[in-house]
Amino acid sequence: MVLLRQAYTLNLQTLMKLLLQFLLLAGLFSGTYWGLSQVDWVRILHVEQAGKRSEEKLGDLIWKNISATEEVVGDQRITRPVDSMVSLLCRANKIERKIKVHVVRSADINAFALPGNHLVVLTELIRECDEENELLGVLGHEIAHLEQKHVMKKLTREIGLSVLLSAGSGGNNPAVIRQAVKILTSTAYDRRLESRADMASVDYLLKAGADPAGFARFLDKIALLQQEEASYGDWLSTHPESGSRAEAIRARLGKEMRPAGRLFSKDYWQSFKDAADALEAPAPAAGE
Amino acid sequence: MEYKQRIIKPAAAFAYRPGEHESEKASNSYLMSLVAAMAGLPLPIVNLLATLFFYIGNRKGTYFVRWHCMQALLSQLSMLLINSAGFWWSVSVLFGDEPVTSRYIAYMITIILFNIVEFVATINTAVKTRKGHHVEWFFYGRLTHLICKP
Repeated sequence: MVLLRQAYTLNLQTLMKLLLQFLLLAGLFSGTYWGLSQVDWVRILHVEQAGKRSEEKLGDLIWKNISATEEVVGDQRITRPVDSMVSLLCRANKIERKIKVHVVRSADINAFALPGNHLVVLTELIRECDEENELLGVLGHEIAHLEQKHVMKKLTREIGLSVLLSAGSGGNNPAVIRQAVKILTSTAYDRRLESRADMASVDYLLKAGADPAGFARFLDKIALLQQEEASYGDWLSTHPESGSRAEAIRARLGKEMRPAGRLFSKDYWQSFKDAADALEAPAPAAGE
Repeated sequence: MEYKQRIIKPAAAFAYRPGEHESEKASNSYLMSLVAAMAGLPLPIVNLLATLFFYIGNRKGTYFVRWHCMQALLSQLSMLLINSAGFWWSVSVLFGDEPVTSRYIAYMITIILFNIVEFVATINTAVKTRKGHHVEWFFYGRLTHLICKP
């Protein structure tokens, strides 16, 4: 039979020794962690810069892919007002104006954010907006996706960080880029992120002196279209449950005093709308 | 998480010298966790499960074998705790809203360091146990004595 070097019976002394050894180990672990956490690893390892560089490169690749297959609008009567609206929202909300705005001619009612601060607005969405607050609401929503880093989160979730980083750091992978384009232009963010972007947009608009109720009206319009046309394939599919989101915005606004004036002159808005309306939407490709 | 190992000659710790078969099984209990850890990365539970199954398989073995299976199991249990925290923190960083902070990097370095120490200690113990030596780890040895009775 086995004999131990010393008797280990469950008594107070044994327990105290065990507890002391445990505390020593736990202390060693905590002390190591505490000591290491005093170092600014994020700065030393250039974590943010490396992430930003990859994101920018990935965004440029995705935009290059989109601009190669879609018609990019160069008419300044259309691009300038959209750019001004983005600038207005950024200025009012102290957001660094690093967003690259693009307008693309398309029959889809859509706007989407890409990595690297690209914001793409489709002409049909502009045509669908009856007033500036509607478009400002959508732009605010997309700016919020960029500011809250939802774009990379969504791509990471769908594709995987390692694949994205390899695509964004020079490992040219057209399949990954195509997949990223598809994800960003035709699938929804999760409900929580959409809701956060909606509420952030409301705040942006209020600070900019715009009326967020316009954004709620736009979502109502989208909800109606969703009922009429299930296969619209745009902000309808990428932004589901528009009706309930419009309700949430109205609930958030409550009885809060809202600005009633216009940010842009009636003529300026009208010439912008006329220019967008003049751009007929391209015929959908066969099979769509 | 072992920082001090006490090698007790079998003659002193046990009344008999463990046989070849016992030494091999005791040594395998440590190797099992290493192989499973490598196979199951990054899931931190795989090595614990492998060690647990090995322990269950040997629960009717001799005291020497049971004792070492239990020590291996207990060490894996604590590694599971700290590794799981790191694993889920990483999942939140990669797929959730959690940012990469200096605290996160510090925690990951800490668990990597502790895993390396555990890895080296495990290999060392597996080798020594295979030779029939009885190795008691700091804290775990004492705890194993309380749990594993002759």
